Amino acid sequence: MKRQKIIPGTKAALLIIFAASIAQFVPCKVWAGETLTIAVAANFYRPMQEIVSAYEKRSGSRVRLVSGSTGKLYAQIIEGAPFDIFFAADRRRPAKLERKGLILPDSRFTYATGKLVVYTTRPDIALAGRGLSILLDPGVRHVAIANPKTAPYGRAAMQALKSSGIYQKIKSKLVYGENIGQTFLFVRSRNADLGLVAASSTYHADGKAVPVLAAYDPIVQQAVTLRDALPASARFIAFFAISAVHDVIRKYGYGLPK
Amino acid sequence: MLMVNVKKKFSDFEMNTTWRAGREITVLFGPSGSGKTTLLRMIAGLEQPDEGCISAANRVLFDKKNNLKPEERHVGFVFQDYALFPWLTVRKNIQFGIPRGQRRSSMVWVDTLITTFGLGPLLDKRPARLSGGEAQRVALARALAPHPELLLMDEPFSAVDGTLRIQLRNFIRDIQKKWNIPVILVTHDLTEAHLIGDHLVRLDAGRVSYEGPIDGLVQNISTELMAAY
Amino acid sequence: MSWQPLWLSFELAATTMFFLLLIATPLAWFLAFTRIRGRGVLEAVFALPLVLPPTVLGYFLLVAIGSRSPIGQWYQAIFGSTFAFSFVGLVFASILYSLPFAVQPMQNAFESLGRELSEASRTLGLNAWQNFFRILLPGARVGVVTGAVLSFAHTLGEFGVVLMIGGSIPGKTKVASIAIYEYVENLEYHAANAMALVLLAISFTVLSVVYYYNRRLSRMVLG
Repeated sequence: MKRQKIIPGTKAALLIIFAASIAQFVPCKVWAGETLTIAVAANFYRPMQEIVSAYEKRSGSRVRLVSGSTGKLYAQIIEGAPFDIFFAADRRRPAKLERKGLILPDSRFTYATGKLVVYTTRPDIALAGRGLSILLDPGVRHVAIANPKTAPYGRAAMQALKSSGIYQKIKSKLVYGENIGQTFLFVRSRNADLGLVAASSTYHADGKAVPVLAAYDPIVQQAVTLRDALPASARFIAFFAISAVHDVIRKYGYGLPK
Repeated sequence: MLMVNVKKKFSDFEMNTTWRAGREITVLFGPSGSGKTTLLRMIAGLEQPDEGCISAANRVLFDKKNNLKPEERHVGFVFQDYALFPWLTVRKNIQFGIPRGQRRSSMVWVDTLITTFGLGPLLDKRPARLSGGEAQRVALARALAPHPELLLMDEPFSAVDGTLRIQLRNFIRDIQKKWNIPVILVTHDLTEAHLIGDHLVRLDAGRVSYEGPIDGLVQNISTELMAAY
Repeated sequence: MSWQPLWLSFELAATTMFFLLLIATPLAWFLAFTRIRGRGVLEAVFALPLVLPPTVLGYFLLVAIGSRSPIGQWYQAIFGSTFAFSFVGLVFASILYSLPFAVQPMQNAFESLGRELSEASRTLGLNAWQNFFRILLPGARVGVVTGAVLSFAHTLGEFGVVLMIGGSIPGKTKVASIAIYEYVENLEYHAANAMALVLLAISFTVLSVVYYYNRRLSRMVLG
């Protein structure tokens, strides 16, 4: 009696497993052709996640996100990484890819302009109205910026320090994060007293931030569609023009291209 | 005179022994697993009894209040597989137990040991190059070098046979006579015990089943055998 | 290519090795011979840096020793500087990070040396301290040397931890691996290649010298 009960049960279970595995495989096959792989500079990762989930909801297709420093992603693309679209943190690397003929013609465009802020989590440091002169304060021992050699935000930070004329005085206080995310972590974990970081990374973070007013070249963040990209890339790029996306970009503290 | 009265609990049996050893050759005899080596190690301070008392020549080595460290006990120990220091030459092995400051003053003494044990030709060799008999003689010389008040030997006959056995037996007898210290050796070989021992302690599962002159044991055993028939 | 990062790496590796000799040798001895309960747990704790990704270790350190944490405040009060962004901090981190590489060969050597030689030396009148220097160290020297050199080589190639807590300060925390990484990021492949080659050559030389020396040592011991 018991046996008879078990066997249909097992069959049902097997059927469910089988059905589930088909359900797993079939849509994957359909989607696989359409799954975009997008490489995104670390500073834009969080807004990109929001944008992608909105896109996935609307289009029914899937996007895979790869994030890292612009330099690393660039090197990976040169070595043939299978990305469809590359959202860089500067325009130098996209332009280089264009010159090398690795992108679809005319696909390079500016999607956002980054802004620098002075950021601190130390309650005893008042940022308001001080500008960059706060860096001269003897209580400020370590100032974190992204590595100017490799990170666009680091370059901008360096320009701001130099244009404000305090670079020589605070040179010995500088510590360098490998990318803007790590620079942010230095300040957040209060190993560095303050830092010049991307406005986007301080969104929803604790601590205080004020915009850097000293002059620096605009951080023009450009995107390119790579040469062998899937056709669906065009849909994603088109999606970038809608106002909801612009709202997200602005919300995170970026400027929009004029 | 060495007095041993110790108790120790093991997972499979309990040791509870009382015996003594004088300035003669005492043989600890018993089947393997009867606790002979453990007793030897307790005397040397390499293992601790749960309770009891060990004293040698009116010095307390172990009791409720005292527990001398091995280096404070002045006990010579010859390990079953000799435990020679493999990176030191034979000479350095022998000198090992002599404090650095006394090396010079004890040169004559070391030479005596070297001649007694016929180690002259081996002095610059390392232990790996020695035969079993040679290694044992080095181990003996090394144990005697710091003038121990007591000499312990764990299964000295296990790795030697034939004429070497006879030689070793004579050595041990000579040492005992010459330096007049208690020598305690462990063996599971009754013939060996009989040939070398003066005093005999027989152990069975952690207890002393016979203590007395060596000839007594032979009688004791024959009575046992008779009783069994 | 600048030589400063290479020199700094060398300095960091040598300092770390020195302190690990002082720390790892007694620790390895303890782990090899202790009979306490929970020895397995202890061994696992000290082996953790083997499996923990270096960046994770670096992250833990960064958060644990930032001025937000009590440890970080305590450290600053004592040393007067932050743990991160300093050479001393890198030394601390490297000691943690390379600890298992030093401890494990040493512990193996102590274990295979066994207790008997120590027991023999104790009955010959040496106290525990003398025994450590005259029996345990010489007897386990192959393992001790291997452990020291592995920790040196491992620290020389350290990247993730330094990346997390170093701050890439030239002459202070910008070690060779970081410099190479920056060269690569910055597309200066020639400099990257050159420095990587030098690092490779140094590591290879150090390791081959040690293996050669160890072979001779063990042959000497065996006579």
